[in-house]
Amino acid sequence: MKVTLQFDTEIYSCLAIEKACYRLSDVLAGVVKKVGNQYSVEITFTGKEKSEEGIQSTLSRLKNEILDQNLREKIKAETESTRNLILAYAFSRTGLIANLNTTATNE
Amino acid sequence: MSKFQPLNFYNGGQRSDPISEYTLLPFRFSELDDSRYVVTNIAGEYLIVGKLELHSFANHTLQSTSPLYIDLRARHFLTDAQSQMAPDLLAIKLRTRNERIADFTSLHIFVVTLRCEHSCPYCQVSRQSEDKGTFDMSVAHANASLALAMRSPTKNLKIEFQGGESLLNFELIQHIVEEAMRINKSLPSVKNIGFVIATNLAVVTNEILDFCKLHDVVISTSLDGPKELHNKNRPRSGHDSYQRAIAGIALARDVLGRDKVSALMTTTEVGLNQVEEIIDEYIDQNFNGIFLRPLSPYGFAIKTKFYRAYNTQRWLDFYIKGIEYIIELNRQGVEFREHYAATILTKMLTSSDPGYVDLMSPAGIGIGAVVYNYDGSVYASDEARMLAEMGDHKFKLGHVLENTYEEIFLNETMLEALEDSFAQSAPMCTDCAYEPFCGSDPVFHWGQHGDLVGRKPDSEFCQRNMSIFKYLIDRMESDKFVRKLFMKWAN
Repeated sequence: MKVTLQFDTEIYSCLAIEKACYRLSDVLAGVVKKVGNQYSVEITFTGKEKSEEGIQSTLSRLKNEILDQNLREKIKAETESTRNLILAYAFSRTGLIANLNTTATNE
Repeated sequence: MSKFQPLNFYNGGQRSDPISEYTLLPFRFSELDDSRYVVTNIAGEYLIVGKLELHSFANHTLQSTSPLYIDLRARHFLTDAQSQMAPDLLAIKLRTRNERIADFTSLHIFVVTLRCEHSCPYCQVSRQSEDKGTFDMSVAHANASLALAMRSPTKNLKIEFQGGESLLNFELIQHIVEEAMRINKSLPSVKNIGFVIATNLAVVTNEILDFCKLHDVVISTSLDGPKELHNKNRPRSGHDSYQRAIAGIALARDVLGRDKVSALMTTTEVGLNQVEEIIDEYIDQNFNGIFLRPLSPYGFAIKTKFYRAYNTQRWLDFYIKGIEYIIELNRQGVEFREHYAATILTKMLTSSDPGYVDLMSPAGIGIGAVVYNYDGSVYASDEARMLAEMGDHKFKLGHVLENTYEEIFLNETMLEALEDSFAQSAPMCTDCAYEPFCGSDPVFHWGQHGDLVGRKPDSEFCQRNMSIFKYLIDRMESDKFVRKLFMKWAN
């Protein structure tokens, strides 16, 4: 059985949809296409559960997961510079970065 | 003039609107249940947040007077006018959590023999029963292995002897211990070296233990549970594995002291319904904890189909029933812990990382532990040599007589596995709130999926650990006694 879902490209990121499909890849396979201002996701159900109720439950999980992934993308973009700053500071005095520079110079 | 700041000062400096300006700090979230998320910051500190509240927080509409706002600020999920130090503090915590990486390899495992007088059907190392010449490590291999181990930059070196039954080649253990001590004295910076013998204790003697006492060698043994279960799991001629293990534990404690003897169990199908009896056995034998350990998919455990005798869910049921029993024991005043949970809780509730090889990211292979096999081959982990005995030498890093330290530890296979094992960049793990508590096990995923990263939706490693993380958090959140108990296990 196949189902196609549409998502507005202004609201949803393609990466978020792909990540959500991957997370549920034990029960479905998703193919994402861009059609105009919509992402069209063709879903094939691959899990053991084939009943209508089971399929609707899987679709609900997928939609919720896409919402979560979309929010994650937003948070990731908003906090990127702070994340890089923290990482740089965290490893700035370990000697690891200096060692890498030395290795690169020797090469 | 008032001596105190007005209330709005504590409301984020806002005059009338309690929604203050705040900046999000990096964090991840994952579903705990239908109504709650677990959120973790970049240093691995966690909070439980309602689903609607999380959206409010991420959309900058959370009121600065709400208890959640105070918690989020205190745990460094946001920064505002009153918390400018948060990024610096996060960086310090992150560095503390990762400081072990700079130490490089601290656990060096010497497989001194593959021979064993037991014939356990679940043996994950594919023991041999014959030919001392073929399956014992030679002195030349031992010396070359030791030379590599002593080059490790770590100040704290642990040398562990494994088998087969390691005591069947005790002469070589003696040689390695004495030689390590001699080399250590000549180093410009002396290391703290600890020695562990992994043994079933069936052939232990007073002479062996006297040597252990003299050199501060500790014992790690196997105890699968009550007599009937242990002897069924661990057959040997005479059907007396349990009796010998118990007598050996008593003798070793007598000579070395109680704290110098630890034990490990392995879960087989026949033991799945006996978790309380297994724990009781550990209490009867005066241990202060137990490591409830599933079978690993290597060696005879695969050949004899023991590994597939139960699935992850059945093991999880066994594990959770065991933890519940241990919690009840503690409630009644019996101090006892489960070591795997304690390791995870240390990662959850403190800034330190206990360095458990299976729960490290990047993976602990090579940089957390390395194995010198009986034939001089060097493997990236204990599981890697188990895989090799099954014919897959993917994680062979080199040979002690043929390769230099640099060739072994900069081996392309190891670097590839390490690069691929950064959980922070693995599919699904990159967004997972539980990632700071988890790790990467490239050897397991290679063995199971033929891929270093593995497909997480199908990964038993992922299913097992995610279920345990959720269970531990949920348990702490719903019971104050359990929270206090788990805090004790973590510290």
